[in-house]
Order: sequence, then C-alpha cells, then structure tokens
Amino acid sequence: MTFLSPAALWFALVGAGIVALYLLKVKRKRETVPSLEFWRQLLLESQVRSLFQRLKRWLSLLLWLAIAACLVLALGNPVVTAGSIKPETLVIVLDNSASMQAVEKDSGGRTRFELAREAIGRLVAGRPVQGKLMLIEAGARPRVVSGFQNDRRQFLRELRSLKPRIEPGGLGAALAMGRRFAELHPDAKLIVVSDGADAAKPQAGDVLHWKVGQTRDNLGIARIAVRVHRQRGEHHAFVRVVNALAKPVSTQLNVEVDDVTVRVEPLEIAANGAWEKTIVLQKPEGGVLRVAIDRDDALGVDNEAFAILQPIRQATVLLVSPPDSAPYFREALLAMDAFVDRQSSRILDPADYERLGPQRRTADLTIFTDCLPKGRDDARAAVFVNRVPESLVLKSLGPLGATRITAAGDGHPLMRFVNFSGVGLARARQFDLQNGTTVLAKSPAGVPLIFLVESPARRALCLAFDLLDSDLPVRNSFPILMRNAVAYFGIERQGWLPAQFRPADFVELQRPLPAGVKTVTVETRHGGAGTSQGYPARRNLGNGPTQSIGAVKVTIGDETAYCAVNLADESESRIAVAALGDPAAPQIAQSRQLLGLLPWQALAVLGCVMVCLEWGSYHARWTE
Amino acid sequence: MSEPLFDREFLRKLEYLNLLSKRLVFGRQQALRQSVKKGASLEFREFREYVPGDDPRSIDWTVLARLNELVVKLFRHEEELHLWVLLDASRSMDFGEPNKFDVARRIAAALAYIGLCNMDSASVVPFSRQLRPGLERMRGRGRVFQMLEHLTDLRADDETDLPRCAQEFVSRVRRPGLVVVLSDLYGLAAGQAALDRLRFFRHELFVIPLADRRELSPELRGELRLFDCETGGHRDLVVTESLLKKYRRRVEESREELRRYCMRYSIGHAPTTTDVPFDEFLRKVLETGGLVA
Repeated sequence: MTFLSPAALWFALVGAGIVALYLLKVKRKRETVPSLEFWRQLLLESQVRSLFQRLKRWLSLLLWLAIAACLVLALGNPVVTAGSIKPETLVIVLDNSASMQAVEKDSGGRTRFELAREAIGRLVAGRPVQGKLMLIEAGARPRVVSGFQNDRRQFLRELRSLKPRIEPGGLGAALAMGRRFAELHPDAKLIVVSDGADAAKPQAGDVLHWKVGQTRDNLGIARIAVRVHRQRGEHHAFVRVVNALAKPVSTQLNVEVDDVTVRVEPLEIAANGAWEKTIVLQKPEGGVLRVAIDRDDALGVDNEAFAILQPIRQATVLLVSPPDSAPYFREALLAMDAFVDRQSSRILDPADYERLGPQRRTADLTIFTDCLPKGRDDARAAVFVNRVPESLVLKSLGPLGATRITAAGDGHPLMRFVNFSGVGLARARQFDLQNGTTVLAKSPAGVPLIFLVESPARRALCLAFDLLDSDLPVRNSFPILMRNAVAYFGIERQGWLPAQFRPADFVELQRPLPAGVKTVTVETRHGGAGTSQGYPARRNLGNGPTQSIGAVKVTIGDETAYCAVNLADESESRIAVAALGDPAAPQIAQSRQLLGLLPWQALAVLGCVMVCLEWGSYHARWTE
Repeated sequence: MSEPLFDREFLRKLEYLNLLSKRLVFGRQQALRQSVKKGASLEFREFREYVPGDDPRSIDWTVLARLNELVVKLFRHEEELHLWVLLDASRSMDFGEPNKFDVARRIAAALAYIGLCNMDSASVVPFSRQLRPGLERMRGRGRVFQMLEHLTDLRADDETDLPRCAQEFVSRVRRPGLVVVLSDLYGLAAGQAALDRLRFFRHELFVIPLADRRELSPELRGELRLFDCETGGHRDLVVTESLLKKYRRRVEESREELRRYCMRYSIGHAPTTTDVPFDEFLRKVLETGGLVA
C-alpha cells in the first residue's frame, strides 16, 4: 500500500488524544434529584447485561480509534499496489505506428489503436485523483501529447484528439523519452500500450506492457526499390513481401504502371516467410509504378507500394577542345555510351563552339579543355580543364607546380568510385575560392585542385591542373570521373525530392530553389489534396499528401517532379503481437480488482458507518 | 428574604376553602359519618335476637312481654370525626420549584384548618424516618395560628420510612379517623404496605401524591452524576433520550399502579404537582367529593 499524502498520517496522533480522553475520568455534571428510586430500577434492568455494559465502554473506545484510523488513512489517500504497479504517476506510451491500424475482427472491427485508447481510458478511470498522468505518442518521432497532470478530463480529451498515423514505429525513442520524464518522479511507472510490432523491441524490465491486438492475418510489402538498366532501357523493380501469418499464404501481386496492369505475379509465401523478386519493366518513358497485394487482411496500408520510374535518356555532351587534347575525352565518352547520346553529342574546337549560338544551351554538359568560352557563357553545366574562368574564383594565386592529389569530397556523387592514389599532377595552380565552392580533391598541402561551383543558374566542375601532362588521363579514375560528371550534370541530375520516403520522414528539397520561385506545391499524383507551402520558411514538406501511401507530385516553378510515399517497413507488416516487458494487464486488472472502490472513498464510507454505529452505541450506552 | 409561607393571602384562601367545604362536603358528609357500629346513641337502628354476652340493658322488655322472645334493641353508634394529616417531611420533599415541601405544608395547613372548622379535631403529624412531633387532636379554630406557626417552623429532614411511621401511627391512634397522607410516595411497595397497615385499622384514607414536574419529566441530558437529595447517594449515568423515555414510562406506571391500588380499596386519591396552586387543587378535591370516601 502506498500513501499519496503521507503527511496526513500525522493526524494519527489524534488517536492518542482519544485514548487519553477515555482513560481520564471525565468530570460529570452533578444534578440533584429527590430520589434515585426510578433511576435505580432502570439500572437494575441494565445490569442484566453487565458484561456487555463494561465492554461497551471499550467498544466505544475501539470504535472511535477505528473511526480516527479510517479518517486518517483516508486523508493519507492510500493506494493498493498490486505487484509492481505504483499508479501514483503513470507515464503512458501509446504506440501509434502503422501496425496499430490493424483491424481486429474479434474486437468488433476496431483497430488496435482504438482498442489501445479504450484501454488507456479504462486505466485512467481507475486511478486516484492525485495520480499524475503523462501520455507520449510513439510514432516515428516521440511526441508528448499530455504533460504531467491530474486532470483526467483534459487527459482524456487529449487522448481522444490523437489521430492514427501510418508511420514506422519509434517505441525505443518514446520509451527513452518516457524514462527521462519518469526519472522526475521516483514513484512513476512506465506503461507502454502497444502491439509490440516495433523494430527496436525494447525489453526493459522497468516497463509494463499492455498488449493490444491478437490477429496475425497480414501480408505486407516490406520493400520496393527501382533501378535503371540504361543499356537495355529497362527498369528493375525489387519487391519484398512478408507473411505475418503462421501458415502459408497463396495470393497474387498486381503490378501497375500509370494505373495500367502490366503484370500479375503469383505469391506463394511460407508461414512467417517472405517473397522477393526483381520485376523487369520495359518502360523507358517512365511512369508511376504501383504494386498491390490482392488480399483483404488486417492491415491495408502495406498492401500497396509505389515507385517512380524515371524516364531513361542519354545525355548530350559538347566537348570544346583544341584538336590535340580531344582523344582522351573521346575515349572517356565512348566508354560510357549508355550515358551519352552519340547522335547529339559533338566535339568542337573553340571557334566552332562560339559559332554554335543558342544550340549551346541544349547540351546537358559542356567540357572545356585548354580553352574558355568567349563572352557570355550559355552552358548550364560545364567542366573546365586546365583553365578556370575568373568568374568562378575570387582570384588566381599563381602556379603550384607538380603535386599529388587526394580526394576531399568523399561521398559526393562526382567522386563515386574515383581513386586518386598514385596520380601525379603537373602545372597545378592555386586559386582563392568563393564561398560555397565544394572542394572535391586537393594537394597534400591542402590546395584545392578539383572543385565544384554551383549556383541556381550554373554549375561547373573545375580541374586546376594540366590534365594532358598529368597521370590522370591514363588512369581508370579519369573516365569514371567523366562518367560521374555526365551523370551528375546531365541524366542523373539530383531530383527535387528523394525518389521514395515514408510518411513520417522529414522531407526537404534536395536542390536550392531557382531564383524567383517562392512556393512549392505538393499534391497527390492526380491532383487534389494539395498543399502549397512557402519555402524555405518551412523546410519540411513531410505532411499533407505525403502522410498517406501513394505518389505525390511536386511543382517547383515550371518544373514537376514525382516521388513515392510508402510504409515499406517489415517490422510494421509483421503485426504479430510481441512482448515488450512485464505484462501490465494482469497486474493492472489485479490492482483494479483489489481496489474496486478507491480506498480513500471506502475508508471515508467505513468511517461514516462507524460514526453511525458509535452514535447508536452512545444512545444504547446510557449507564456506565 | 423569602416570602412567608402563610401570608394574608393564604389565610384569605383558607376562609374561602372553609366556606366551600361547609357547603359542598361536610354538610352532606356529616350525615354520612354515622358509624356502622351499633352504639348507644338515641337513634334506633334495628332489633336482633339476644345472644349471651349482650348487654342485658339493651333487651327490649316490651317485646319479651308480648312475644316471649329475647331481642335486643340496637341504636346507631355515633363517632367523633378526626382528621389526621400525615405530612411527609423527608428531604426528598425539599425539591422543586415551587418547593414541594412548601406546597405540601400549604395543603396540610388548609386541610387542618378545614378540619378544625368542621370536625371534632384535626391533627398534623409530620413524618420522615419516624413520626415527628406534631400538633395532635387540635380542636377549635383558635388553634389555627399555632398550627401555622408549627408548620412554618417545620423542616424537611431525614429519610422516609413510611411503613414504620404507619405502624407507629396505628399504635398511637386506635380510634379510626380520616387520614390524609401527603407525600411524594417514592417506593410504591413501601407506600402500599403503609396504606395497608392504616387500612387494616379502619382508617379512612386519602392519598395525595405530590410531585414536581421535573420529577415526572426531568430535563437531564448527558453524562451526569445524580445525587439523591434524601439519602445523599449518587449514581453516574449517561442520560439519553431513550433512557428518559424509559424513566417517564416507569414513573407513569408507578403512578398508575398507585391509582389502581387506591381504586381497589376505595382510597381517596388525588395526585397533584407543585405547579398547581394548593387552593385550586383543594377546591377541585372538595367539589368532586373525593376527600371523604
């Protein structure tokens, strides 16, 4: 038993006063009567029960002590603690992940989330008034829904205000947050109300787990990914489907591109097993891929998944070079024929380039070697070798001479698979770079030798050394670097948004907005449910249409991009209920069974009953 | 200084009661006061056969001469009418507001005055544990002031022993008379024993149980130590409403039992309380003719 107001137990000293009053002889009021004859006769009647008469005095004392004890205990507000339940302060973590949206047919078709809210409501209804409550929502990111408070109505209002989410679970982070809050109250108890379908699966012993849900009837798409085979002009879609049931399941997977079924894959999945396949799609023009499991099960949100099939195209590259420098680049471009459109790509000397006029802007990439464009440069993306335009740097610091080169931009797409070990450079030069310039390679002394200058209007890769007198052209790294440049500046230009993300992900644009564009519109693929958001005032676009499974269209200025929103979380699709800690339900049920009526109320009622008994006893106790 | 027990107003009320008694009671009662005993008065009552032992002087010689039978001639016996007022002077009478003993003394004085005026003699005998010195066999109205002075000096004292006093009374007073017992009559059994004793000696009895309202329905509550003003003993009680109900019921039963006893033996019975003025009480008694059975 725990007392919520232990200070009130000091009132127990009243008991000593009661005993003293009974032990001390109370001075009786004196009255004179003409005769005690009748009083004596009445006393004789009572003496028949003389033993009871003597006991009545002590019974009265015991009654008063019991009354005082009841009232003092009631003031102390005791709470019966069953097992490890100490319900004075409860930190309740409510799992609001996607698996909690599973429909429990045995519970009247309600979702686990609804059952969890009802369970919390019942739990709160049986708590003492002084008991503080906190509610933490465990979605992809933990969120405090209700801070420590003992206003149950407010708590229940905030509980009812919770909306179900289609998010991967984040119980681990929520429990960590709950523990931090629980540490503020030594008597706090952490209760997680969940189905246990979480990747983290915390097993901490200080957590009581109120399980919700029973069903395991679910098949879910756990993963979808698309890659491009440029040589064949194909898209390869990898799909993984998991079976949460403890028995084999046979069904089919429908594959649609732009709402047209292109394939039906039979699914034969073993108990608790998984099905994986790479589906080849001949859709070089691109489109929106949708795969859907043709089965009605408990969790519907993981029965479909989307992916964006980007159009497969080749880049147009202009090589502007004096004739003696061109062969290296020609060989490099030939080595990546899947990336370069040979029909439209050309090798030009500087004079021809100047004569080309507006066609210069049609090229995805222009490579300048040993030369610079004259006048206004129209190239959207360019690679400058040996010579760097003055507009891209602050100033030249003079020659550096021969040197070694080391990669500095690890992880940058331009430096993917590029290895500079053993490469010697000749006639390198030093430049004072502008702010925002990305250094991709440098000398051992830290002098930038390969750097990237990006602005909304123009992007340029600069090689600040003499390429033809260096080792680099004869190394594998050179064609790889050129291939990366073609991909980065041309055909694989980074999208505005990730090709795929989950509903709760923090989504922001991956490229700076073009000049003059202030608004980004996000809407479902076929329009509707759109949101226009000021950008970059709110960088996160992860709300609105991106909170539901499907494909969304993002409009930025005159550009349009597509991306897919998928749950694609195997732990959420495997909805079988798992234990996260000590089972809470039996202990809470036992506590409620023991409590029945809250103890302080029961004690107060008992005290009142005993006061009535003492009142009756007082009237019956008419003689000593 | 307390008011005098017998003031001018009291004497005026006595005169009024005396007149009332002459008209209502004793004028009629005197004719009824003839004794059932055969005696030697001039009023003939009946003839009876002679039995040995009869006074030969009562033989009717004329009848003997005519009928040759011995008969005796009986005459109605006339007795003196004596009034005895037995006044309870125990400490239990010194209670109440107005004081029970004061009221009792006023009633006793009034009865004695009426007796002096209408009867052959009147006596006021106080008693407590035993008979105390009183004024006995007073004759004539000239003894009134002596009687009042005696009653004024009388004090309530000692405990009551009514049976003993009755025994003492009948041993001293052989000739039957009208005996008025003026007492609070606590201890009904003892009271009945005393009345039986008086009745046995053929006294005409009239009982006036006198009580204070607070005796009948005490206004007591709570944890009390009750002192008996007569014996000095005490009892510790927690007086509750239920106990008071029982007390009142017990008092009522006691008074009812006394009433039934008096009715059974044709004893005059006129209970009263101290809040009833003595003259009103006596006037009612005289009007109902209950004083002389």
